[in-house]
Amino acid sequence: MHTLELTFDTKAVLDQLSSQPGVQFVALMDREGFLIDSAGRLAGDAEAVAAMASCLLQTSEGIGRELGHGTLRSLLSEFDDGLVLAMGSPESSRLVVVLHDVALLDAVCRSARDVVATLPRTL
Amino acid sequence: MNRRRRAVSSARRSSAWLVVAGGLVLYSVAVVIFALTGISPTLLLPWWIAQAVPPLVYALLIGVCVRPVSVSRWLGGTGLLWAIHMLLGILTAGVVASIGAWSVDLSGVEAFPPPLIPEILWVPLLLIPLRDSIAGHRPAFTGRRVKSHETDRKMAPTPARQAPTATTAHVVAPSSDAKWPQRASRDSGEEPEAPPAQPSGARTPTPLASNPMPSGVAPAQPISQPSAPRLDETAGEEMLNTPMRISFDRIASQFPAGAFNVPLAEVSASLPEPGHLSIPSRLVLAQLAEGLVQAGWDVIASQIPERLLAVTSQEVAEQLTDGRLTLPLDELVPQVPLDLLTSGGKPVQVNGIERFPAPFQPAGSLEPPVREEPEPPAEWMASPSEWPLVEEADSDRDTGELPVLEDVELDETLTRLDEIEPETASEAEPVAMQLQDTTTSEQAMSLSEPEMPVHATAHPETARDALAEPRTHGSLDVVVGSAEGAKILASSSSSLGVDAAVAVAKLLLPVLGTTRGAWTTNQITLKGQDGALILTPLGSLAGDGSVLVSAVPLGGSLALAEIAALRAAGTSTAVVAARARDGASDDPLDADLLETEPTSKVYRTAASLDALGSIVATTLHIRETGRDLHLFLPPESDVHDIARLACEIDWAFIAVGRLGPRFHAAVLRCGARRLIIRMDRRDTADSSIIIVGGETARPGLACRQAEDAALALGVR
Repeated sequence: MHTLELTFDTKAVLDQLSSQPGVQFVALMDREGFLIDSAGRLAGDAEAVAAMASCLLQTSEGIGRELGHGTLRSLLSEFDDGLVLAMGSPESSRLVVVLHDVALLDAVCRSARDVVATLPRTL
Repeated sequence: MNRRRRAVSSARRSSAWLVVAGGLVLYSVAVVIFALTGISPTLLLPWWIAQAVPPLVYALLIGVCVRPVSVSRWLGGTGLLWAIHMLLGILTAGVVASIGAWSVDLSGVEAFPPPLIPEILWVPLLLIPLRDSIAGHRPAFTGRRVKSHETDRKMAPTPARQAPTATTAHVVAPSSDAKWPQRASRDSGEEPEAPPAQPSGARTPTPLASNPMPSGVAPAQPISQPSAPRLDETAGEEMLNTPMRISFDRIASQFPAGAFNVPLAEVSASLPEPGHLSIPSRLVLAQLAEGLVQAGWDVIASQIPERLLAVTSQEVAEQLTDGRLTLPLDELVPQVPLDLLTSGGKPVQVNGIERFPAPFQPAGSLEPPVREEPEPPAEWMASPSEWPLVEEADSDRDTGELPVLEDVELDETLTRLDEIEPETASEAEPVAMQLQDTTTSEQAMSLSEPEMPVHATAHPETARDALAEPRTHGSLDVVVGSAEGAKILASSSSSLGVDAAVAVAKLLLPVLGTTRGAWTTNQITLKGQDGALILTPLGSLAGDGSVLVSAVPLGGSLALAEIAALRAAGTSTAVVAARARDGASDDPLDADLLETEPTSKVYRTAASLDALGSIVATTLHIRETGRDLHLFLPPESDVHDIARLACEIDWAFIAVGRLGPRFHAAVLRCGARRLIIRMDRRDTADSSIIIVGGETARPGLACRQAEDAALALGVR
């Protein structure tokens, strides 16, 4: 049996991601959509945003299954005044990022992917 | 995180086209050589035979090189190559004619129809880039699909596996006219290359090499005990030869759309063991330590009648994600003997292991005696002899198999709903009528018990069938009725079923809306292996109370379901509590709670619960049953009140478990506070109950920490 030493510091990771230019809010939720931690500022209800993003991810996974496109990697929703990026897998935690500056989307997207990649499967 | 490499069609490989271009150069050289040397490329064959040879050769080559290929694509590919052969001959003749003024004699290649040689030497090279197009395949994934398929056959895959990631699938809302950057600029961003394969037995998290953020993140430590034996290596032959079983419904969503020509429910019913799939234990045990168990399609295919498949078995395998199905761990782990999970190997470092799921907890005194269930409340005592399958259900439990809902008939006293008074029925009618157009509601009403006033279902099944069969994932059943003066609006979209939801609601009515000191319950969510059940007192309850009961599957929408129910509910719950408590059994309240000094482990556990603010650890001992309750609550809380509440819920869980649905955790939402009550999944007499509560804005973390606390204190 393997030894596990999980030293993942979720708060530090979320703080770093939220401090990136263009990022307004970052939340980490569990596989059922419950908020684990968050960073940044949000006008709305963070729990509701996390829950809805989780539900969207689940729905989008269904679209991928219908289309035979494989596993959902990320979800991007564009609005008049911002953008919401969600990613994660059904087996692990999920991440939602609210951006107000779309010009920095590429960098944020890469950072978010790296964060998701470091999430322990059990988190 | 490992990344599967992108799928690349052969037509998009530049190397394939380079080969073709090189062949074309050689072809041109051959033409010139033929001309210079005066060698005629025309064979000494009758012209009609010479012209029949190319298509035959091309057909043969396609048959050999492009597999599998349908007849139509075979003929089409042959025709394409033959057409190119002819076109090339014509073009060659044209070019030769244009330079015919030269001194060299090119008459040998000017003939039409074009000669067999040298075209036939070049045209087959086109099969290199056009192979996938002719075959009509989905792009073959460069990677390990084939290997994983082979591994399944051996039933002992290497524990090290790549994370099941796949091609990028951006789901993008319709673009506004806003000034977002061009999509190409985002999508053309460099995808990180797939890292080299990891060594067997090791899992290394992806380093933050490309992370532009400051690197203050402590990376997860590598997990490495490569010499530790795998479970399939330590298990006995008897264990290995005993297949495990999983519910078909749990993996049904992973099958590609249109894979079956009948509904999934019919596929499930057609299995050798209806509703369940058999999985070789060796396959499970070989992967279990990795926390992810997958099975190839070939493991499943043999159990599904071929007549039910709408496509070929091979096509199903190709359309599955990574060619494999992910199996539900929560169904597999309970089928693994505890001694196997806790035995063998070198002493391991257990720092932080409480964050990992239950089977990987360090061995301790983990084999308590079989739990002697306390006598159930009086309303439960009346019915056991009337249940024909009670003995069967008990025997299932003895053999360690998980009881399933369809094996046990529901107690009529719990599923029966009182008649709704006319005025309340009219209020409830819209809820049910929305679904009645697609149902056989009249049949249902005629066959159902007269006490069930409204039972609408979105599937054409009778009410009696609905009582006897489990609900499939994705279907929706609705029941509106009343019990003990409280109106129950119950719906189920999970395998729990609406009747079980009603039964649980009746049992927990005394708890709903109860005020225990500063704790007033606004909502209760019960979690079990079959799904979650959300009970929410509804609206202003100046008269009769109403309770919204939603049985939902576990998954990404659970949190939203809670929030939606809560938003529909309002805040007042007092009347439901008062009415319900009048009829509640007092047995659980009589528990003799004796406060004892918490152990050092309990204190250490309390220190790890930082998601719920300041808390105090308390241990109460139930003298009658010998069980301990470990409470982690804010300092001002009345621990005895909360302990009695936990006992009531525990009793309800035990009672409901006799019907089939089994729950192990309850999360009570009390305003900004959460109260998490975690019972042991095992039926053990001395198992503890963990109660964690406090104000939190991070419910996910609170639940995670409560789960960790339960594991640390031996509650599985």
